[in-house]
Amino acid sequence: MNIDFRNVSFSYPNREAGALKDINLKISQGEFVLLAGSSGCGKTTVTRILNGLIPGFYGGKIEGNVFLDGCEIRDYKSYELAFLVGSVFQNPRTQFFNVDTDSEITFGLENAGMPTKKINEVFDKVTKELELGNLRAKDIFKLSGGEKQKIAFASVYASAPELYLIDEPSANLDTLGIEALKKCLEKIKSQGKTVVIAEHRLYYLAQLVDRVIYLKDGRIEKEIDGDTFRSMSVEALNQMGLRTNQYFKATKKDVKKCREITDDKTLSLKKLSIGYGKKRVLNNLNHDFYKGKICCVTGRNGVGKSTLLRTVCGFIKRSDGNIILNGKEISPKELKKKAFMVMQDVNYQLFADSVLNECILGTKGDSKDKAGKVLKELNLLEFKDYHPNTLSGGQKQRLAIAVSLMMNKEIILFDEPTSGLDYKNMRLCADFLKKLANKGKIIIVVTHDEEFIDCCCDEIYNLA
Amino acid sequence: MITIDPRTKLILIIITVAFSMLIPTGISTCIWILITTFLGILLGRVGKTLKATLLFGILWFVAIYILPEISGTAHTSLLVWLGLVFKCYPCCMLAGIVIGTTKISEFMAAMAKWNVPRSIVIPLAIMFRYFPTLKEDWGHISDAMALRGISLSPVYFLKNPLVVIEALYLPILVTASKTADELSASAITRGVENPKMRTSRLDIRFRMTDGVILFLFLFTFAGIVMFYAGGYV
Amino acid sequence: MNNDKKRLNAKDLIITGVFALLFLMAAMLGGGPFATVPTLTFYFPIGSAILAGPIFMLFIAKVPKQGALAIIGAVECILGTLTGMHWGMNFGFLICCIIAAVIAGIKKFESPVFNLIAYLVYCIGPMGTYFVFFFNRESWISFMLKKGTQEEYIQKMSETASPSIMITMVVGTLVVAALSGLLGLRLMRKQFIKAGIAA
Repeated sequence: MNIDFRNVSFSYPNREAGALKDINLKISQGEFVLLAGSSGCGKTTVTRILNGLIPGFYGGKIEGNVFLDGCEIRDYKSYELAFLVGSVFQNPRTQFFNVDTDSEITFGLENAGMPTKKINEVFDKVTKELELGNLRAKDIFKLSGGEKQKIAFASVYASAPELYLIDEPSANLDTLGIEALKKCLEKIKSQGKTVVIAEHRLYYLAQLVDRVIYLKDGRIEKEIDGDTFRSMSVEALNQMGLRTNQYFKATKKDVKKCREITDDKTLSLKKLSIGYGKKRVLNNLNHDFYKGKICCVTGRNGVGKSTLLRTVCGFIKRSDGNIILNGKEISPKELKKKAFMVMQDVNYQLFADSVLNECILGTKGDSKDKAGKVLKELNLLEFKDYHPNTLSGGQKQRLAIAVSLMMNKEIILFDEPTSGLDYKNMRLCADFLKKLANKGKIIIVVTHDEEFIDCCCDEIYNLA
Repeated sequence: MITIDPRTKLILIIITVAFSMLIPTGISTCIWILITTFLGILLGRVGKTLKATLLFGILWFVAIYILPEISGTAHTSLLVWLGLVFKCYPCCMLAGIVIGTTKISEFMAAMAKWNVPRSIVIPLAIMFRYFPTLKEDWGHISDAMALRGISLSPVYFLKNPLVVIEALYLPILVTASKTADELSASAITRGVENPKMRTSRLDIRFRMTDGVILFLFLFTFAGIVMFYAGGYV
Repeated sequence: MNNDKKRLNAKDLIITGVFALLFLMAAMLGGGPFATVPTLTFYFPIGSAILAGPIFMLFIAKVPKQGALAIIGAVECILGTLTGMHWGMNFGFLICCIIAAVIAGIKKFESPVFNLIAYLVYCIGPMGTYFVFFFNRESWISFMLKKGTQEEYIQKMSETASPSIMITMVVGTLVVAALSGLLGLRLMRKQFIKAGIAA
């Protein structure tokens, strides 16, 4: 599959971000190309043009020409393109059409009207080549994020397209999930397929990449070949607004050396257990979280990190042990008042029709002044009349933080705050977390983002 | 335990709908519940089928023996309510059995064989697909509401009606829109718009057992119609 | 790509499926408490009209094509049939959805007044069962009255379908539907359009 972009420009009908200006790009068969750049630079737009979602699905006008093996892309219908181009998206939760894994893997083949016998042959081949033995005939809703993404990949793989388009596939995955994804990518590279992948997390791709296209404000700013990219220093990459190209593990810091800790400055878990018998999720946890400190909770998928977060928020009653705040035992009801969680998908917690109204929602009396101050601190004041849903991911997150400040919450929890954030926004997020800590809040963050942990965490609590 | 084609199950439901449309509620309803119970047990769904039959029995007992002892408005409303329940019971019970013994992909494949238009098949499939996601989303949203101190109690609602209303509608509709968009993008790029007839990896065929079960239901239906038309019931 | 303005493409169909489920949930949550209590059974249509207004308004803004509402009707009708709901409600719903689609479509789904009327018509659907009961109640409840006298029988027949119950049901549903529809229109202006989800 040879790709040729000639003088391509594009803008979305309703927004400026993500537009492309005069793109000229050639990709040859078998190349593994990484599209990198900060949020809104246009890398996702390039993938959408290649799979036909632009302009068909997203609207907008394209200028210039895009050729796939010499044929104009706009001459293809969506289902004709589906034979040539396979797309894998960011969100594992919303990519699958079926409820069970087997049907999902054969979805593309069924759409194409392939005869039943052939479908089953391909199905057996795919499950063997991608090592999906343990995922056959399962309920997709019961899989982990990484397993879901693997099924999504298998579904595309089954149609054997020549070009793979992958849009930030690691955004919602943990470390294990990313490793499984890497294996799939190695497989298709070894088959000589053309791969175009848009990503923020670069480290797991470093060994696979043939060329890096660095985009800025819709233009191709730089093209870097694979070897040069692999030898670039982390500082040079950060300067370009990009994340590290190397595997990295944050070093554990010892908070006990820092300062005098007294009982009334902590949230303590003493022998905390959740669940009974076989359904025991958390077992005999003992840990102290300190005011003014950021504690990062790590651990593989399924070890109970979400359960811990929800328990500290007061949604789950403990089966054994205590939770103690400021020297006194605290009940789930009281925890609900004192704790706040910034969820992985912030859309679940935005309720109002403007940023300002979101801050004053549920508060008593005249809190507009306070809201103004809080919004200013979080760089959101200029957006105060905007609808929360029109903000970017990072801005929505800061709005949730603003709400927690307005409600005078003492304990603020974060669930994977940096999924899908580019380097600049990841650093911003780290800065705001430090600001929050300086106000004396107890900050608990569930994350597997090592760069982020290195930036702002005071302590690492591993739930092994 | 036997298995029958999803299309047979559909035909059985249609026969049952015809039955409840044409035949007045009475002893024939009991007969219908009996053959439905028989089918449920044959298909392997024993526990839940028997519970449904038992519930029917209890309601029938109440209708025939207990109801005449009650009087006044309680009698009237119970009369109406039971009338509605009995009209719907045969279909409902059969539907429960069908849904509990058929996979969605099986069902969709069967619809495709009958050339049911995709403008019906796709939305139906999506409804089943989206249901667990909707439950998950709602769980997160109600957690978020609790953390904000927004509650669904009548007292809170009377003090802050607009807050509760917006909290109820906005997040769910925003996440529903996003989910619909992402689902569509993923389906379209895998060729869902292909006009060619959809196939399936499952082999769906009519067999001998389908014929036998169909015959049983049709025979019962014909028999009841004849008795009714002949004035015996 | 598919630019046909009136036909429904895959994206429209998937949005229809998602919203069909939201409509179903709204009807069940609103009307459920009524249907399960014997004295309030007849008022199920009132309950099912309470929550769906905003969902309706958003849906016709997202997919302003007549086929979409008709498909909601067809899908809910099929689902109702498959789960054993009474045919009066299923087909009543289908017919009302088609009429609602035609009404709202007259002004290309852009007139608030026509959209509101369309929603009122949409809410009439579930009343189908009760209309069938009203006109055909002998076949539904005779077998339970065999023990009484002829007079008692006639009296019961008229009590169970007294005009006052039917009128309360119809008027109540239309009033609640109007309020829910107006709420929907308001939320459209205030929230949905600003949020960018009405496109």
